[in-house]
Amino acid sequence: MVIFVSVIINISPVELRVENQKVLTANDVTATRALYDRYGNLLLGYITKVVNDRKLAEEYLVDIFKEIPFRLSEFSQNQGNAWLRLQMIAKQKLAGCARAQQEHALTNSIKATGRGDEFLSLMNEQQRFVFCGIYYYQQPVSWLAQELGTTANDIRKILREAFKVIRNGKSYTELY
Amino acid sequence: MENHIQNFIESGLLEAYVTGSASEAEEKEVLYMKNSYPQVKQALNELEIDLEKIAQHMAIAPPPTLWNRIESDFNEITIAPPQTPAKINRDERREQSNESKEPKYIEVEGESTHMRIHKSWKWVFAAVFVLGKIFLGFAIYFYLENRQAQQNIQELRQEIREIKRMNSK
Repeated sequence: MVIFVSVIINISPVELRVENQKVLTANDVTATRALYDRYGNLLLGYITKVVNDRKLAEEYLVDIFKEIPFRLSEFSQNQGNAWLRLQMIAKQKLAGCARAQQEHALTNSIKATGRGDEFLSLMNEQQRFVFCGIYYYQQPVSWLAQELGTTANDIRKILREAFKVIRNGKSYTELY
Repeated sequence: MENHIQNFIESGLLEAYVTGSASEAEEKEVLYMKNSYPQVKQALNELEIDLEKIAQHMAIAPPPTLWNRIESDFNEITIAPPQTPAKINRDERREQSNESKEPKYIEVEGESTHMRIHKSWKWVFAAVFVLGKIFLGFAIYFYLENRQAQQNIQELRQEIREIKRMNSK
């Protein structure tokens, strides 16, 4: 019951977008299915991390994939790979929810004890704060800079270090 | 020039771009650099792979019914491709009538382990379930009744035997 109520509260009403008036073809559905098969599990993992509620994450996933056939053109344009596009679409949907969670969720992320947090546990606190703040909770760079008492350029450098940790699977101190 | 590209790569702007935290002007700059310099394109591809790598670590398989929920929405607005009537001459028709004697299907072994059925079947399954419970109830009732009857018969036999024994004495 609690989950049901939270789903009703958190999910914004369906937007009647002009581009949604396009008529779908069987090919659009097939292409969407292919994206779902390839990235559905990745996206559900990502959303679950952001909203911290499995049922709500599934509702978001359904909502996102209902929109995909109308935005397939974005996947064929020169805008990065499919996963990046999907993630951007998910971020647009999750924007309000992600930002609302900021402090509490960020504090939890810094502890990095959850499922799939192996990469986060390799990062130092600062890297984790910046990476989670930007990647999961869509916090503005300026806010993160203010929180850490540093500049936007430094935040980007920290983000870059966090990516190095992900790539190498080693903590930053081990790398240098 | 090499230094300029290297500085750009190391500025953290590419990371900001792939995580969606870059401003519109910065996004344009990244796309320009990506299209102009293969090193930048390569660095960007590597970051995209990194993002996919972290997502794979956190992946959660969606429940099997989730796609049906998405697809049901599409079914209401999807149009079938237009069917154009083919022109067939008499010879072709004859050939087709010969072919029609053979069964017209393609043997396909589906990879999916799931089966989709019409929603109305749920009432049938519910009825079968309820009837099953009723029959089970009857079966238990009649079993107990039968056992009770058997016991009564045994007791009666015993009594008859005792009466006979007493009469014979």
